Amino acid sequence: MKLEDYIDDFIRKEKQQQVNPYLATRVLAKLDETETIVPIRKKAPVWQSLAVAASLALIVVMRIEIGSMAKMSQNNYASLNINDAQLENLNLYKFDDYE
Amino acid sequence: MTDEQLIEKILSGDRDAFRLLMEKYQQQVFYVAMGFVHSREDAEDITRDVFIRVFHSLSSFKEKSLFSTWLYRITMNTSINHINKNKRRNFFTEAGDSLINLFNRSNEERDAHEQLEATEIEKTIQKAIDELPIKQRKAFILSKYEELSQREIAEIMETTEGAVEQLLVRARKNLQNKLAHIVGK
Repeated sequence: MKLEDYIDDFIRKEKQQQVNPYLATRVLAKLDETETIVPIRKKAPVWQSLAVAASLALIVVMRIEIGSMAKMSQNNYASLNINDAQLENLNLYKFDDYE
Repeated sequence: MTDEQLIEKILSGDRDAFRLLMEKYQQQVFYVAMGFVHSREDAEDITRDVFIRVFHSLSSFKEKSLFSTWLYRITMNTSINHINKNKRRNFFTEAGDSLINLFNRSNEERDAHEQLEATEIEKTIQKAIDELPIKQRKAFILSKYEELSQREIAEIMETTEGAVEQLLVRARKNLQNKLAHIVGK
């Protein structure tokens, strides 16, 4: 027996196996489970896309607004306090001028 | 009904059309999977996964090539993924089988020895096919299990007919080198 015959025999034996006749049913059941049987080509409706875009725009605007509010509430006491011109004049504590 | 008509119907939500398409191609997909995994259960799992994948990506099928060509590509990729995923499991299964054979061997009669020898030859051939480099293996399986022409194999593997011929020659040579001892028995 030639080597080719051994290999052909082996392949012939493997090809004697038949696929399960219920395979198609099992595949369809599996697809049903994942609930993807109908909407293959279906795209998201326009209103959904618009709603997502509007929400994103709203988030951006709100963030800008909130940022601006935080800026407005800032006061500049701190800058006043460290302003040398606002400090009490140390010359007041010198008694030389009053003598 | 042609493949194109079936695909159009499937895309518009027709379940029966998908069933028809599966029934048309399931045996071919199964044979290719058998060529890669040599086990009925695994081949059936691969066939199921292939059709689920086909269903999900059917809308992206561009019809530049035949549906069968596209299907063969998916089948080969799914089979190779399956093999890679189960490499560790196969190692333990093979080790278990070898141990069982070892223990059984001492108690067997002469007929059983012949049977065992035949099984060993089959295992050796299977191993030799599995050890072929991946491109040679693909070409060999499509040629031997599906009896496709070199032109069809070239289209599936996106290469030239000359390259496929070379792959088949090299695959045959590799198998001869690995299996030479069988012929000598």
